[in-house]
Formats: sequence, C-alpha cells, structure tokens
Amino acid sequence: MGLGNLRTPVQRILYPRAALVRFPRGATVGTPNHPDQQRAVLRDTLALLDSASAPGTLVELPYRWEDSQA
Amino acid sequence: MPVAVMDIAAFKARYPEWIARARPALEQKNWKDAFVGFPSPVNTEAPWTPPAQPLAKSRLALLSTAGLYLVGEQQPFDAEDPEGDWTFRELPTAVDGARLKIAHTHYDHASALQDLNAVFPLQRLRELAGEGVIGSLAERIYSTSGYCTRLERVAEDTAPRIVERLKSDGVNALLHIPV
Repeated sequence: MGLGNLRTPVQRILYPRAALVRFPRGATVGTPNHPDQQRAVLRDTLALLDSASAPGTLVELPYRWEDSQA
Repeated sequence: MPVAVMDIAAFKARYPEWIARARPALEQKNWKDAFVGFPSPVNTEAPWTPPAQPLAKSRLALLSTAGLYLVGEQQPFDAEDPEGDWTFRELPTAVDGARLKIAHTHYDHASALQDLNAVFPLQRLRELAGEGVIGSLAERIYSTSGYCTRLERVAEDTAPRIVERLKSDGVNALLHIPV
C-alpha cells in the first residue's frame, strides 16, 4: 500500500492500493503531535488491504492540517 | 526474483541524455531546470495479489523514503551526489526513534523534528498493532532516500534486496510512504 501527498507521482507509480492526503511534504502521515489524526490516516490507508478490489485503487483521505502542538 | 513493473530498458535508454544535459543544473541545485525532461517512468500495470489474510492477521513492514539512518551504526545517505543515493538502510522495528537522523535534503524536516511520526509513523504503527488493527509488525523495516535519479538501480538492486528480506520475515503487507 502507498501513502502519498502528490497525485501525479502516486498515479505514475500505480500502486496496487494507495491513499492520497493533503498534507505537506515531510508530514505525509499528518500534523505533528496529533496522534489521533495520524492513526486515522494510517487506519484508512491500511484498510485498503481488505477493502480494495482492483489494482490501482486510489482513495483520497479527508484529513486536513491542524494547528500543530509543539 | 520479483518482476519489475517499471520499463527499466526504456529508462536506461533515455537517462544518459538527460543526465548529461541536467548535470550542470543539478550541481547548482537548480532543480526546476534540471528535471525538465527527466524520463519519469509511468507504470501502466499495477501488481495485484489478493491478500492471503486480513490486515488484522497480516505482518506489516514499513518502507520510508525519508532518508532515515541509525546514527552510530549506519552511514548516512549521500545527500550531496547530484544523482542521489539508491541504497537502503535496514532498521529494527524496535529501534528508538531518537537514534534516527535524516540524510535527505529535499524536504523540510521541521515536522519530522517535532514528531517523527509525521513522516515515519513507527510509533503509530506499534500502537495499531497493539490494538489488533494490524496482526503484527515485521522485525525489520526499511529506509531509503527519496532523492535518487538512478531509478534503474532502485528497480534492479534496492527493491529486490528489500523484497528478499520481506519474504524472509514472512511479511505479507508493505506500507510505502514516499517523501
């Protein structure tokens, strides 16, 4: 499974199963020190192992950057 | 030996012309101009294997291209070579994240320095395994540098070596997080 933040490279790679997020490069898994959000991103991505039924499945996740907690 | 999806022959045919033209710009770190005409592979087939078991019973490994290496035990990735670094580092899944450093100069490290999980979610994956979302984590996980133009070396050397280790460890699912 892939987890990326840029649609074009992710589509060029053509993973069997992949999730796309709208987080900046260097924070693909989510906002720093937001473990609930990071776990949600990972759960949704990993769930593709069970839910994807065709090669090239690509799902865009709904999570958005939050104010970082230092 | 796994079958590469990438058209390696086509990439090898086009690469010499690109690197000859791009090298001066690469050496000046003028990435925008350098990567015009880079022979980016566009895969037309996605490999597909139906999972043998559900995620909750699967053994998962992580492959990150964040450029992480184990300080004091491993060499950093070559962050100065204009063609990047195609090698990989094998990391124990039990590694203390504080012992990892980044050798990849093509992304802002600020988020990773605040919280490594933002780019290398090892602690988060341990938690999900502990909750039973994932069956188990593999004993070894993998790090590469996301800056590498020698994609044929990645396809012909790096990837098969990692796959060999994944099979040896009984891994049946891999999470790839490119940076």
